[in-house]
Amino acid sequence: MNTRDFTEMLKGCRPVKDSDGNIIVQSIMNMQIVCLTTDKEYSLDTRFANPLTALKAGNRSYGEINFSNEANKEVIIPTQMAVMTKQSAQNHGMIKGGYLNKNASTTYHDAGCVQGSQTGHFRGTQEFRMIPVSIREMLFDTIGQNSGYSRIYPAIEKLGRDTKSNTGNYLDKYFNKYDKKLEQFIAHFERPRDLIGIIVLIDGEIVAIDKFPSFTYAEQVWEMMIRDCYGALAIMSELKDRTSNTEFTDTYTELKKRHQDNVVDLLEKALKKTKEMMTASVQEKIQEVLELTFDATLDKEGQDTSARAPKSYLLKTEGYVGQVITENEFNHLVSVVKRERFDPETLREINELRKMARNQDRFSL
Amino acid sequence: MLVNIKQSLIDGLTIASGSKSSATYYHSKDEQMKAIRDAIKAQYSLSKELPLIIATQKGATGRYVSEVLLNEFKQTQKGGACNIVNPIDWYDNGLSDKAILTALKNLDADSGFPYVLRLFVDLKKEKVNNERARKIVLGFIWGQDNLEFYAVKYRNKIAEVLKHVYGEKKTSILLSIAQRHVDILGDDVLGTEKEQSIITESIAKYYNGDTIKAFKLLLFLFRKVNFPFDEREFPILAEYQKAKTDITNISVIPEEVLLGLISDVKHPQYHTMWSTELQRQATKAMIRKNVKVTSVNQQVRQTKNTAKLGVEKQVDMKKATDFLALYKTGYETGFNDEIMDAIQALADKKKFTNFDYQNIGVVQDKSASMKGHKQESKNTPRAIADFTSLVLRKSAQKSVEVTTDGEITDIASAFIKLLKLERDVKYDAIFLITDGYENAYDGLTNEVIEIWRSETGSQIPVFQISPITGAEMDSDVRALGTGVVKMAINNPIALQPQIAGRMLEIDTKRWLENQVIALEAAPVKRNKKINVNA
Repeated sequence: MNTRDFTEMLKGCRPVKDSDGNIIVQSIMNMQIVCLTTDKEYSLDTRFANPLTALKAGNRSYGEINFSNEANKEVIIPTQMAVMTKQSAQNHGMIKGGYLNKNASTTYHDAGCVQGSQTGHFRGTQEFRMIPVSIREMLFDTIGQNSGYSRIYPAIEKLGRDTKSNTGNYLDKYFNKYDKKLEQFIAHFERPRDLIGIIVLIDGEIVAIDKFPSFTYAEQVWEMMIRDCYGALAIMSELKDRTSNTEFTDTYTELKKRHQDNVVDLLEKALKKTKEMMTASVQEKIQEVLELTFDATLDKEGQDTSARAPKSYLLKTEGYVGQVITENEFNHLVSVVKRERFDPETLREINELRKMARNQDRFSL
Repeated sequence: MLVNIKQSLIDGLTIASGSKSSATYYHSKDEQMKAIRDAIKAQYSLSKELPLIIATQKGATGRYVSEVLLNEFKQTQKGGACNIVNPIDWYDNGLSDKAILTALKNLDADSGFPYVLRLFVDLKKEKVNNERARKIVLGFIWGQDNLEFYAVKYRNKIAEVLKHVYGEKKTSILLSIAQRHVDILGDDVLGTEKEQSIITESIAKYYNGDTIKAFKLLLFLFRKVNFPFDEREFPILAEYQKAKTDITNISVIPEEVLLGLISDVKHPQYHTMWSTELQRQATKAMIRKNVKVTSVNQQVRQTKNTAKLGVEKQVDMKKATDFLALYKTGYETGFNDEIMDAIQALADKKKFTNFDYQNIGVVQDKSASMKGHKQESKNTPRAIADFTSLVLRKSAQKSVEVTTDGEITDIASAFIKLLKLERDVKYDAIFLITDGYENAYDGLTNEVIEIWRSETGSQIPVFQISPITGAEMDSDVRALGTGVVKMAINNPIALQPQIAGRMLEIDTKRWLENQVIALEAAPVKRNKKINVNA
């Protein structure tokens, strides 16, 4: 086991900003996303193929997925992808991401069934979806556990409870119920040019961070990430009756007390201030997470173990869990989620103490 | 009842003007269609005439009109109850017939002949063949001035429709009579009385020409031709016959028909002109160069492909009437002076006369979602938005336009920027052209508008114009908030009726009366038929 600093994990990335230098925060209800970009040289478009077109999946027994890479490029398998097929077969899900060399294939024996008692195996399919982010934590926690083909069932049951979708052990029931809503959800978000990663916040707290290998890769998985993966958070928020912001109105009312400007100038000031406040808040939250240090455990199941191949590590720290696929300190894929039970306030206290410790003088006489 | 009808009319105008059957950036085709059908069903439940009145408005989309007409044909005159117009006027005095024919005329003019054919084919699928539907279909098809050309271009579809309305047996009888007259008897010789009656009822009362000519067209449609077409009488069909053996130097047959002929392995020139990729490219280029009957709009759409084929073909862009073709070509190949001039000229033609607002502000959403769905409607919303903005600005004496910055949908910032640009003369209306999916943050624009209204006391209308209707909104527009009046459009032409339609919020009864008066005065009738009632 070794350790990884979060600053290292997202190196080379930066949030997308508007012309005033504010971080662009896209919001719906109590959910926000911040898009990350990087310099073109760090986007490995020529090296990695796009997963949704390069990969084909099949299996021969329950609890495993075999991926074959049809492309003449290497490919990174996105984190926790599911095969939801129309074939007469049991749908399956991955509990992690992976790496595949060009024209290679591999079998992950730590995958899991996601369709209750459906029988049958699928072949040569590209019917992929992403597993909702709200159960990512539970799936990461099963990495290295010997829990068999049913390893994902408890997470699906939880998803069913959280989203009132009566899933049982059937992930497709969740999608069937919410697909239309999730399609609409995509429409709210715009993918900026040169996207390399996404930070997701709920109620102003970071709940998920994803970094992809290239711009084209991010472009290809964008809709699926928003709809299948992050969409669950918005659905859960809606069920909890969370409402949209009224930050602008609050800011305007506050400014009006202190300014005599004409209405339009005041509106402009209030909007600028609202955006600055949103930026500042997000910036603060990102800063907090950057202080994290993860314990990294090498993950070998299904992964290419040759010396020169990128390596997969399971990441764990107080409050967060995730995975990184890395090669010579260059991180191709990063996927981190906040643990549901974790209160970021604890992290703030820890960071505060760390900061104080750093400021203290060394003991001397 | 009037209150319900009013709301249904307002919603109906929005749905009819923006609803498309194709997939949008957000929704599948099936979802869109379901939403349109649900909306029409709801309108019928209020009043039998409501969907037809909406369908006769300028700017109603082809899909909406088709759905309404299909329902009308399906239910015949007996379905539903009339709550707007006196049933005696609606049925017995032929208002419903006029409404159907007006809607059909608009469908043909705005969406084109193939759209009408698609509706007629739907009649077959739905097994609708009542007397009214039959007479309207026959009147429409046989009444086409350009039937010879359509017979070549849409041969199978027209034959399918005719076979459905005539029925298997009558089709066979008609073909037999036609064959006999063309082969043996000629135009001057009368058949039996029974034959004459069938010919009159089935063809002659709808067709404006010699019966023998109609027979020849009928035989062509049903592939029963065993005679040569005379070049003077049937220039297109004569050339078609020539093209069956030699496609070089053919100029009046549609490109797709020629491609269909040459790609058939039985065509004598197949092995010399179509069997290899190289031959195919050369043949396509030759056809593209020779054919003179391609519409200007289609030629504009083909710009990129024509260049790829290496053909130099002069297209008079200024004759184009389809703004979508011009814009999409511009997005794909760049907006050169010729395209820009053509767009400006078209916008001049389409601008609203006596527009209610003469000093307007326009905010245009330039975010990625306005580009439309990748496969089916790429760039369509964007083109509608660009052209609508241009038409609006040309229609008003003064205008200011602001577009959204960056790649997210931040309408609020653009709205404030627009307010800052307001000069001495205050705007009398503001138009926000957007799909309504803002993300910086959801509801922000509405907050800004509400504060601006309450602080300034401004009552000017703020219209949200969306080139996209959402299936999740039951084919309606996703509104930015309560402070805006939402409208859906697929063409700027739909805008003015909707703005005028706002009048119905004030005086619904008067608005409806005006529609009925307009219908009464509509110069439409079933071809050669005096009595409009079936």
